[in-house]
Amino acid sequence: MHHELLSALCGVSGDLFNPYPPQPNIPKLFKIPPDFNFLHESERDALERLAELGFHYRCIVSFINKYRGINSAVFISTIETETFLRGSFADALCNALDAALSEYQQLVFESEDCILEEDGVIPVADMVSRFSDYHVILSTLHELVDELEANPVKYFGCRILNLLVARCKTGVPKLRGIMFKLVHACHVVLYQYISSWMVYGYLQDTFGEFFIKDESIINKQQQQQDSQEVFFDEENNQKRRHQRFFIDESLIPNYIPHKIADSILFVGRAIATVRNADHSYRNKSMLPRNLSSMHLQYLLELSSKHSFNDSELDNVVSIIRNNVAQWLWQVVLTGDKVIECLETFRNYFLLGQGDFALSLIQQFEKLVNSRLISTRAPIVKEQELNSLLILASVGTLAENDLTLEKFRFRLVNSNDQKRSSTSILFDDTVIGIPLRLEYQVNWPLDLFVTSEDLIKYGDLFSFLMSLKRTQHRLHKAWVHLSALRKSIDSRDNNSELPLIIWRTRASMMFFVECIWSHVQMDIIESSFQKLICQISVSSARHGSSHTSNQTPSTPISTINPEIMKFKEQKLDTKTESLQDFEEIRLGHQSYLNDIQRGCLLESRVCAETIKKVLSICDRLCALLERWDGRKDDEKLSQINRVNEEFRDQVNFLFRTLSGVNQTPDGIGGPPRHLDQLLLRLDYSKWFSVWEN
Amino acid sequence: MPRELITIQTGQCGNQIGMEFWGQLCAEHGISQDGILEDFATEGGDRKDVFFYQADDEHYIPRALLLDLEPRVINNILASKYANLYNPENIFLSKDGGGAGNIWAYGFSQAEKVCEDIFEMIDREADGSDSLEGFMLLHSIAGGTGSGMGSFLLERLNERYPKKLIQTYSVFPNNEEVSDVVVQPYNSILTLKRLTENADCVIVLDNAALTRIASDRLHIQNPTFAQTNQLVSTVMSASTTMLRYPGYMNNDLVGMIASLIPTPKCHYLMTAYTPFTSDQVEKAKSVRKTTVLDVMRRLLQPKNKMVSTNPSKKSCYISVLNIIQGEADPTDVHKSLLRIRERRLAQFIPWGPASIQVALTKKSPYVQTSHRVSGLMLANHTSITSLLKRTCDHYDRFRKRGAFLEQYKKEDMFADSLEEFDIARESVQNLMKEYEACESPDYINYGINKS
Repeated sequence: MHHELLSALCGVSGDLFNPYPPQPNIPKLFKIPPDFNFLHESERDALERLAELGFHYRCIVSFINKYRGINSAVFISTIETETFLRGSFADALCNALDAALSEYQQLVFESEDCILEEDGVIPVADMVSRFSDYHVILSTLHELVDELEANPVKYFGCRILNLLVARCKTGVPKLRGIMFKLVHACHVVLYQYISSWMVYGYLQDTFGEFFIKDESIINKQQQQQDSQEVFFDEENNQKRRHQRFFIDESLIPNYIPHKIADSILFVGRAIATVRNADHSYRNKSMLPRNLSSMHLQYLLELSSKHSFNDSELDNVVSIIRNNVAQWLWQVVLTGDKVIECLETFRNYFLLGQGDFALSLIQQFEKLVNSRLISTRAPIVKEQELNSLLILASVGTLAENDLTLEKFRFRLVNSNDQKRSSTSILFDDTVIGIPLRLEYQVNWPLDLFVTSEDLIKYGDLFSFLMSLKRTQHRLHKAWVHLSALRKSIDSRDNNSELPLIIWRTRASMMFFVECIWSHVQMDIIESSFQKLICQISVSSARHGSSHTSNQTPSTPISTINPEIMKFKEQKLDTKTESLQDFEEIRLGHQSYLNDIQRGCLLESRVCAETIKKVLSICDRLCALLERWDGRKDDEKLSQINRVNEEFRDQVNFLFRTLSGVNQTPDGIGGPPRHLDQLLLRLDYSKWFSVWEN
Repeated sequence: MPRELITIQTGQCGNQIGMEFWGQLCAEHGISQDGILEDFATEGGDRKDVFFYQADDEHYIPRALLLDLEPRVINNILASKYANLYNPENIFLSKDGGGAGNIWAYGFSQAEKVCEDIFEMIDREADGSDSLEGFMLLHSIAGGTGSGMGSFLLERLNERYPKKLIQTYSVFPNNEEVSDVVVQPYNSILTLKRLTENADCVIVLDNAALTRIASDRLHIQNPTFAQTNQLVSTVMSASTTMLRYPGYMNNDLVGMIASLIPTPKCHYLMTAYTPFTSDQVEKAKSVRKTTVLDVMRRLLQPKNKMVSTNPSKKSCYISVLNIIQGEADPTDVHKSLLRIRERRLAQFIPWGPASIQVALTKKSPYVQTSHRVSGLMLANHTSITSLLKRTCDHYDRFRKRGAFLEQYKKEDMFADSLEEFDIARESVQNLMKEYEACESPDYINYGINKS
């Protein structure tokens, strides 16, 4: 009888304890068959309750046996990945569970000894009391493994921690102790991933469990799965070797803030990229050994702690991050490079080089005209547009600028347009079909330029080009009218062009010039100089700290939070300059947002009105370009209509902006930029006094 | 593509200010007196090809034509340190070398005779440009060659290059002094007609004002022509900085003048410059350091304007462009604009929107200046009529008496009748009327009422 009970406690069924419900149903617990009628009802209950422990034990053990060691390489390809729990986390959990169960096993053995000593005279109640603790523990663990087995995808990889940490919240001290051990086991795995990534830049992740991913490996796997001819574009791979790492947000445990994950990505990415770099960075620019061993020390310390504390992780990660960022700033990407890159963007995306922009507009004009004349090649190709970039640079300041090569035009397929329509409003004004300027950003500049930034630059480019193009057409119209005027005999009063034509053109010119100088001078140039100044200041400071102190950062122990606080305070006092890439990246982002707001692109009404105004100006230019100077009442009345429409739209815009300017928040952007625009537009009080 | 400008300098005055202008441009672009790029001129960021072409790798030659009917001034240039700068094929001297004798009619008819030679030179220069934007004519309207030959060229350039811009830098005589050229009112009126009808833009340089600035602002008693010509060359180089140092604002001539000239006839621009220091004019006193607001405010002051006018209460700006050179903070521009408006330092036209346009440009890194920022104003202001009126009054007095007309009658143009004088006078009268009309809100109906 006791023997049967002990076996059952070890999860082995026998004559007395049978799995219930019987085959072929899936057993849920052990039960004593009903024909054992010599047992008292209460005894039967007690025994069955004890046996239940055995059943839980059996399930947990079978879980362990099933998954432990399953991850040896042989299995990987044969196992259905989607339905099977696997990976290092599962392995670690199994080991930890095993360890947790050993105590229980020990208790079973002790009980056996006891029984043998006492000659088998041990009351059931004694057994019940011996094992009473384990009812909660084993049933919880059983539930846990069931849950894991049922949802292998939901609790895959790092996500397993979500479940474990949630289950730690219990009032039963012993259970909590065990859960902590389980969590710790998994954290050890997580820390191994984090350390190899943050210290060495290695991503040894056979199962894809870590929340940082390597795109190129994923691609390779996919290609292997598709068993296609693999052509790996080596050059492209080199270029993108930095960008290939990314965060899989679904794998970040809930309790780790995304900010920390981003920092972890940043550090590893930087180190991995430098490590993989083929040229000069490599030898000179490895992270100093003492620094990396110090970082490893920090992480190991954390890893060995039994309880997890996210603020400690935050602390360590931010220390490492600061050290690495500072090292990068000094060695890899200096302030000069950042400023150079920003200047390139200013010159080409934001049309800082006016002569090049004008030349480009003329090339586009030629292209569009050639398409109108010939029917043979009606479709504009991207290659063609890109060759115009080079063509346009001839004879301008851009001619010898190598950075121009990284710019590309992309024709936008209207079908795959996912973005809001305001931001792409101006894409199609330059050549009639949606067109965007893009830039290939490389390591190490992509440390601070994101693809979202580049999209914003593209929006701004389209807007500025539209303005510039209309400005250019109005200039050409002026030359045309002036040539007509000079060719007409001045004494013949009847043939003089009516002044209304000139005035219409002039007021349009005025409007476009106002917007242009406001956007370029008040908004872009001011913000640009501010940003450059902030970066230069911090760059100079980094430089000086480098010379005064050869070790890139003072080693700060995680144990001493006071030093940490002191450092943070130091950061706060220097708000004027930008500290590292992250801050430069953020500073750059807010610079772009300011410009976008300053260009009124964030306000749908304003952006649309400006677009309308520009198209009205275009209509006038088209009318004037075909005017041969002879009196033409039909055309004159058309021009009058265009003039009326133009005035309506501009007055509407003026009223709208004045109205918005009265509200306390305005439309955001640089301080008082609407004031500046309104001052320029209404300098002679034309809109506020005369037009009313 | 470079938008090249060909400079045509005619007569004594045109060639003298031309020489100063090219000297200034060479200094600003780091080009030596012989047209060789200096070793230190490596900064880049400038566009030399608007005004120069490259003969070989290092050799820059001005796109300039030097025309005169008498050899004295050009010979001086060829004897100066800049002798090797110019292309010798671009120098035209009349064969008889007698000059125009300060007679417009003679200069005009002489030019007609040598027309083919001159246009051969112009065509050659035009062919040598990738995308010629226009011509710059440097001359005075008072003498014989600059006014007569200049007038002829204005007419012909229009026929030959109808779509190219023609900008002139025209020196107006000092009406307040007795001049050695007694017939200057005749020459002026005849030239003004061509400037009105055949030029796109006339930058008025009033000798009276230049002399006044030299003596009042720079404390030079009895300034020489060379000194006032340096003022002119400073203005010219400043007004072309936008073309030579491309930036985010307009980088071509049309971009500059199209917004300054809303209606075609009113294309006479006055200029102001500040601060003038000893950098530009030798021996002149230096001026303290300046801010953008200082510069913009001073540019609006009559004493800094290079045209002497008598503005009426109704006089107003049709348009203003301030070109600020040097290390100007873009955020200062708005503040300055605001202050100027608050203090009502400028009146504007009542028939359309107008404002002070501001362009910030670079300064040459090779020319050291004592001031942080300097500024040039180009303004289209209705008070220019007072200058025209003075010229007309002079002319009317002479014409009434029929004085000094014999010399003109010697030429075919005036042999039979003096009608050309009356036509020209009427043309200037119309111009003044139009400027006056500009001061009223219903200017827009001006042409319609007339017909």
